Amino acid sequence: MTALVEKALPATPPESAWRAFRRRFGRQRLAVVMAGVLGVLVLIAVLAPWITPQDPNAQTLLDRLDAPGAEHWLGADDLGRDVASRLIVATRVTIYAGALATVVSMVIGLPFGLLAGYLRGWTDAVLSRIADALMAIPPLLFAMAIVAVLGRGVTNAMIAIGIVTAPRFFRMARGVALVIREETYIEAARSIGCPTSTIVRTHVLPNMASPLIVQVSITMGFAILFEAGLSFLGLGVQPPDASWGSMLQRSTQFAGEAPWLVLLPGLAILLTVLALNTVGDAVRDSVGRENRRLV
Amino acid sequence: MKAPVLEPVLDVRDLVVEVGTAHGPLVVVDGVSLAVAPGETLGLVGESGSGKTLTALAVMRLLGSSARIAGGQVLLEGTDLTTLGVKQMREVRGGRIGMVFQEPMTALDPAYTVGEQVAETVRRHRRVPRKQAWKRAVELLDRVGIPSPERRARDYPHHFSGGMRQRVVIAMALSCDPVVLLADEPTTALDVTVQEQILTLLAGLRDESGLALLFISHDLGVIADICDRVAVMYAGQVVETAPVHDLFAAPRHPYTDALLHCVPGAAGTRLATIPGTVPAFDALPPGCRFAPRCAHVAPGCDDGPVALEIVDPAHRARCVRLDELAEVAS
Amino acid sequence: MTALLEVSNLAKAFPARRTGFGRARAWVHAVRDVSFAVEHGRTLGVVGESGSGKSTAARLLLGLVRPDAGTVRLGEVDVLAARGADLHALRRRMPMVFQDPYSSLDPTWVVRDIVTEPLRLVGERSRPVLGARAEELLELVGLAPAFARRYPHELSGGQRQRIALARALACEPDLVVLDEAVAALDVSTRAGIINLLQDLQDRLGVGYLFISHDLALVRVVSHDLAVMYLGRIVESGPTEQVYARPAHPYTRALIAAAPVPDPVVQRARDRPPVRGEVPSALAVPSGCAFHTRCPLATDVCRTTEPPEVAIAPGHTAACHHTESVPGPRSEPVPEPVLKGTS
Repeated sequence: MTALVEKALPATPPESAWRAFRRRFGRQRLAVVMAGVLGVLVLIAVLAPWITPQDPNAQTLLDRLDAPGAEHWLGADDLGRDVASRLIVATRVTIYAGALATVVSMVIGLPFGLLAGYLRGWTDAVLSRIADALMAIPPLLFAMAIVAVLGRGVTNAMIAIGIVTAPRFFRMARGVALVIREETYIEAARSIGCPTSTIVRTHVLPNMASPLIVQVSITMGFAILFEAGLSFLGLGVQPPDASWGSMLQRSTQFAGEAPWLVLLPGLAILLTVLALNTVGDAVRDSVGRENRRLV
Repeated sequence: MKAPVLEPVLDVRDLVVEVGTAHGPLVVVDGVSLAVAPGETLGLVGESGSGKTLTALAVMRLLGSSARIAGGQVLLEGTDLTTLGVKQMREVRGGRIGMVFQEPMTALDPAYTVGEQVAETVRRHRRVPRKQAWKRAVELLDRVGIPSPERRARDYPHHFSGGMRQRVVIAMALSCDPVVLLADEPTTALDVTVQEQILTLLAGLRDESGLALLFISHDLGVIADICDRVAVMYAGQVVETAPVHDLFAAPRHPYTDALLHCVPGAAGTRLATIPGTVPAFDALPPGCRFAPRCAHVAPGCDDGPVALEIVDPAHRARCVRLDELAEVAS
Repeated sequence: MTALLEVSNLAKAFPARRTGFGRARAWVHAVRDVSFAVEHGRTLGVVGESGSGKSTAARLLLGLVRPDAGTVRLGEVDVLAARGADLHALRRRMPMVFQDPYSSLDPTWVVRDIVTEPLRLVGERSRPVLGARAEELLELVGLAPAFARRYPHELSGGQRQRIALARALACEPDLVVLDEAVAALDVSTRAGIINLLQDLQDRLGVGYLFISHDLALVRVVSHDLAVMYLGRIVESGPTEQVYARPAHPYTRALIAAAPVPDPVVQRARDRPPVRGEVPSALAVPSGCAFHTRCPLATDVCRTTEPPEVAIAPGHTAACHHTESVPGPRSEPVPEPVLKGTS
């Protein structure tokens, strides 16, 4: 039968896609450290109620504005509450807030972006205009409006942030889908009678994995910053609960006497956003040839 | 065909190119020697991954950051290009050596007229007034067969057809009267009827000005058309080099022989094939690199690196069984 | 016997430049009135240079691009009348293999999933069944079963093209449309694919529409031949007949221009300098589209589109000057002199 039989496999046995990813990721030292930081933060968030050294809401007025020391490792705030314990519970609130906004943003932006980019034409024109309009709304103002209607609280505020940031996912998904739809493997799928919905789900979506990861990390960082901003304005987390943003807000007036009250939550926010962005970039740089082309 | 009488202007000796990988450097061009004399065309043939393009890029010192010249010399009129500084090398590129690549569109800037681009290459190497450079550009466009060159010089690249763009690229390559023209698959992206025109143009320019032409191609028909001598590359090595008529009439390396038989002939005939695939550079066979795919493989083929053996003064082949196979053939 | 595939009067123009209101100001006439037929188990070769419309024609007959006019019949079925799932099922009876083996396979899929995609589209879900079919298909195209777990980027161009062919064969097609399917491959690899195509035709009785710019290659694989120039078929007929007695000046120019890999023959060929290039499909010349380059062109060529003239049974050419066609190859064929256009 076939004269030429290609029994020869590639010389090197394949490194699994996951192992190759780990090898490339591992070479980026800073990203590895930052991934560790993110891991610890998630762990803290999950275990928060059990690992606080003291009751985060217990007020000991005698310890008011205590400097970091034996009694309060990271000091105490203006009501004499233990800062270390409050930071720990705040981690949970902050990560919940970031994740919620990101999920809302992605659930709205991604499917519409895929449709707009893949179908083009009228669908694209209409959806893109809506996205542009949404982009024009100042996120903070929109969140304030939503909170005014639905009531105060992290959840409402973060849903609002998710809605206003959805155009970011939309634009990313649309842009990548515009590129992917021109690939021959899409035409190949059409030529064997693959329906459009199946093409988008099985060919377009997997090929945008890495830009998607980057977008998730950026949006998450963005959402955490906004949560801080909203809580700072008193629109986010409600007392006595704490988020890093609300801790920052309360403490600004004591910045002179108790700088740690400002520094610690500020550093936590900075570190988390930095870690998210670094890890996102490193993931993008580490994905294999399977889907590197579009990043 | 006789061996070149003239001294070669471009003489590549034992060129070694390494590519950096995660597992250390890999030798991808292994001891390649080539010589081209004025007015002569040397064809460099090979399939993808044979190292022919890397050889050309190494000659031009355009390897980029991942690959480097790890050994050998590239002598241009006696000067070793591998020892030149960045600035001197820039003088050589487009000066003494002109280049023509496969895709004419990428070689041209869509934002400038073709006249401006040709004049620009003139001015990059020679201090001449703008006006004079423009005049030279028009002359060059005329020389490469662009009709009404004064008018066409004011057009942008997208106004030109594929063949006309390749002519512009050739005009740019000729702008400083090079002694060597390096053409890497210059007709591959063109239609057959246009390919013929470009080949005729290149041959004419070579004969007119005594250019040494290094012509890289995978197309044996094109090689047969334009080359005086041919070097066949396989897996980073030259496996056979011979005058063009000898190579096609009496190939001595089994790879060359097999390659010539893969070409379509009459209708209904079955094509010859070469089983297997080109070896990866990190998994080269210990001896002859073609041995795993060779129809004439024998126990001795795997014993160690094979040298280029002399068949006759102008013909060399890298095969252990050179003499045995010659006897079988006769 | 009805033909396997019958295409009549297919036409497609794409809007080129648009006005501010989105109306087309210029049209690229990619395919203008193309008709051909592919017989069961046979190969029709379609040859043409860039801009000839050969690839567009392939997309039109699968309904991947909607034609402006014309009909496509696959057996008894009108392909272009079908919609939705019916059209999808029809496409699986004549799948395509594309030119670029590096972009025609989804880089995120393993080979097993790629070759069995058509089976999943018709509802096969069982993993063991799909796995077994994948191995059969790989065997069919001459690849070891171990390829099933590889990603496309691990494979060579030839291996990928075999995978693309396996995917097409998974549809159990009547016809495979091969759009420059071997053009991107090396000489030795290409020969292997060509032989494989011929073996598969003998074994499965599948028909091919073999689209290529390489006349020498088309000659080896095709039973019948159609030569396209600027969106029209200018000559068609049994391959050897067309080769022995090319009736259209363009066909003769194509044959004359293809270099022969033999320096003695190639250099002895009397080839007058060929000038000019294919004009833009935005402005197809009036009358016979080839008149701007044709050595035989007269006034009638500039004004009137030539009719199809029968040269021999099954062999036609669209030319006003077929009476000047020389006899069979035994007489010397005067090579055409192409006049410049630009």
